[in-house]
Amino acid sequence: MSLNVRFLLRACALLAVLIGVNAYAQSSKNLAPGFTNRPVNSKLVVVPVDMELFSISAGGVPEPRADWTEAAGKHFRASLKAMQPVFGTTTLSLAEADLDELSEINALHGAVAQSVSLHHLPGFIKLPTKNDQLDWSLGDSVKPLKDKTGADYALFIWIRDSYASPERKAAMVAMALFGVGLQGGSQIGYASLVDLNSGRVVWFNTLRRVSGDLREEASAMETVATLLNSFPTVQ
Amino acid sequence: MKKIILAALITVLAGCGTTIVKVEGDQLVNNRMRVRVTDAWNKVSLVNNKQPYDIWTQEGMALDQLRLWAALPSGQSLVVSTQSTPSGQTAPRLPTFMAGMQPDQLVNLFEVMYSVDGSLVTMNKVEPTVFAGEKGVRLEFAVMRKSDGVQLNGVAWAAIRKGELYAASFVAPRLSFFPRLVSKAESVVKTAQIQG
Amino acid sequence: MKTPGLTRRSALRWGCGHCLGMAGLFGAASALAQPADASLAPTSNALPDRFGRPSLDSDEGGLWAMMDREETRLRRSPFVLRDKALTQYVQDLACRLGGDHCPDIRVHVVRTPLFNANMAPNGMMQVWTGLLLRVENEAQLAAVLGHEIGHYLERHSTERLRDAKSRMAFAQFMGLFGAVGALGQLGVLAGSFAFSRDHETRADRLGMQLMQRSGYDGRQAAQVWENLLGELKVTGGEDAGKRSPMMATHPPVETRRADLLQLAGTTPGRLGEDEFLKATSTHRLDWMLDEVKRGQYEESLLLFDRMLAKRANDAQALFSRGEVYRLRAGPDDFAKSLADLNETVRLESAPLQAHRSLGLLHKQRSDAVAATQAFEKYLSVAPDAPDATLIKTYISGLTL
Repeated sequence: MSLNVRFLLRACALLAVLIGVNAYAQSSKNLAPGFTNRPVNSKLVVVPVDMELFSISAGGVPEPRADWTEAAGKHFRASLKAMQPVFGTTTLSLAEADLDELSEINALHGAVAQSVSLHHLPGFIKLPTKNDQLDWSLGDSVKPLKDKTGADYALFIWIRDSYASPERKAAMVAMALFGVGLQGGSQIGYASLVDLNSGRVVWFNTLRRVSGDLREEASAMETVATLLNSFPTVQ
Repeated sequence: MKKIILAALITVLAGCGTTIVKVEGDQLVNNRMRVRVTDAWNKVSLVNNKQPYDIWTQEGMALDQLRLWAALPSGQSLVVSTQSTPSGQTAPRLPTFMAGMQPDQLVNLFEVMYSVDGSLVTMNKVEPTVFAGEKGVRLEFAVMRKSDGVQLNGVAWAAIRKGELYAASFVAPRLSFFPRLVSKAESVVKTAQIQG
Repeated sequence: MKTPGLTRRSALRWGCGHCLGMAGLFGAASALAQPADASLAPTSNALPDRFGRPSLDSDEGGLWAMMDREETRLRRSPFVLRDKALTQYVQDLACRLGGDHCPDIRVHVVRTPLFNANMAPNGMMQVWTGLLLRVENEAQLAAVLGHEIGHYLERHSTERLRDAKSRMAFAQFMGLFGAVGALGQLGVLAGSFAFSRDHETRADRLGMQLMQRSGYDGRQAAQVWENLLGELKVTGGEDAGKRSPMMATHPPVETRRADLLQLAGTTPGRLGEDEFLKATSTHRLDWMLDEVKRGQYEESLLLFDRMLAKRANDAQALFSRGEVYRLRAGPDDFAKSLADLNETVRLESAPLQAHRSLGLLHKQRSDAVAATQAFEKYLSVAPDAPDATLIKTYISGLTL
């Protein structure tokens, strides 16, 4: 089977999974109160993904891997493209260079995402006044992003991914024999959907696991599917 | 950079008994200053990082912070260092309150406190005010945060009574957050009353 | 000639195919006790060729690409100075020093009041304003930049990554066989520091070469460290010069100074003091005030004392030192502050805030007349000062 057909089939399978999931009631943890779907004619802009991949050496030193990061970036973008039906009819992308003039908003969003991660999802320590709700907003600070793209929603994604090198895996096995557990690789990250008209973070999801692999096409799709699980559809 | 601040926050907060409680109604800071809270805040208690001020927040530590000092004695620093000094070495200076400090010197304490991590502080406005029933000083300033480049606006109040410092400072991102939240901080601060 | 550094050279060859040209350097330079060797004189073949982009799947390629992303983030940071003239000045200097590598070096000046400069494997160079405040001339700046270029040319970052990996693995397997514990780990860590110290020494050598071939006085490299030593001793104690500062991989400062003087030899060179002061003049007061805001008074005093020893009529340094005395407010500081500030306002380029500070000093001693005079002078030259309202209340309080 040619590469394109295989890709398409996988994309359809992915789509089916996502649509299937979205058919059920959304988890209220991921959604801002009162928000379920994006309006039919709304436009979505995908902000360049902030991604770093590392290989963990035998001794546990994380080492940046350019080839993996580049491959992962490619697979990730392809997977996002395959999500077109879920995203909706008008999806725009922002060039990396465009972030130069939007750097303050980007930095601010980073701080908001940290707060959400820390206090809500996964939520290591909660803020009582939030009443367990996804209730954060960037307010009118997002206006330049809206003006630049004409979009109604913006999707931000941040991923840090590490993989055990073969030497590390060997060390893990060896140490396990002595009853010592070593950490292998892990994926951490978040995806955040911001309503550019109100500035509200309307949907948020995090990734924290020891599986997943962005370096290969199929498994990259799986990572994207997991991260964008319950991503709000249009209606 | 972002990874660092998150990891550091998680280490500090999630470990060993850090708690966040809702505060509303009448609250007492260090048993010496009463404030009245109409819109509830979140009060953070760091067990392994005890500071001489109360920490309150609306949106989370990475976003906004209201610090409250009450009856800080002369000779005490506004912040406490979390790092131990190796033997044979001297600890770096910390901004230290002294009884008899003039308003401009109090302003400088805040300048130094917010610069300690490499952030850049700019004073925008300094004027006399009444804080906690005492003549004091109010300052408006900007902080360029070193860890992630977020630009914050800040406002602080300080007054001295019987040789002790009473103060509050509030910082939040200058885009959207500070304009939205500063009135909540101000409404707490204007109810401040010294006890005893 | 005996070459004790031979094992280092083979390690380098493994990591860096272009480095054969540097063999002559290392062979001659490895024994510190020897006087500066004539064969160290700059030759046109001493530097490696420009680096091609390393392949993506190599460890070096990984570091390079990650630093590219870091550089994109850095460019967006509000801490980077947007002053084109100043950035160009530092960039031009780095270019001259880097020779053929000039097109690969990109300078970013970062506003932070600490002494620091570094260079990443992808050519990104950061220089902090605390460093620009502390060096006294172009030669001293060239010494620091040359040192960083030295690290870059020898790809020390990649070596350290490899070393960290192998040492950590070794430590782990030591633990496996029960040999871990304070002693075992200390040995491994100490080895790690020594390796990096080796890097620093070589970067010093290469930096000296670069600065001398560009015509600078090599002895200024030693002067940088002599100047810094005083500040280090404030918190580090009298031994600071002999010990490596915590978390630093640099050789002890006192050794380094002596080694650099020896490396410099008697080759003459220029200082470039006028050019340097001219290029940095518009920023110096801001950087001095950043330094004062650190609240590390003893360190700041050493710095300003040193500046004033060179130029007694440096109004900005005089004002800044006066501020430090005023803010420290120690037992004899009032008189010292007053002396400095009185002298400042006599000078032509006195910062406007000096009048404010004088007013505050006089007010402290209840000298109403002098205080009012100084405050009014301040408000007349700076009516929109941030604390104008406060100063006005001082005036009305004083004239009651």
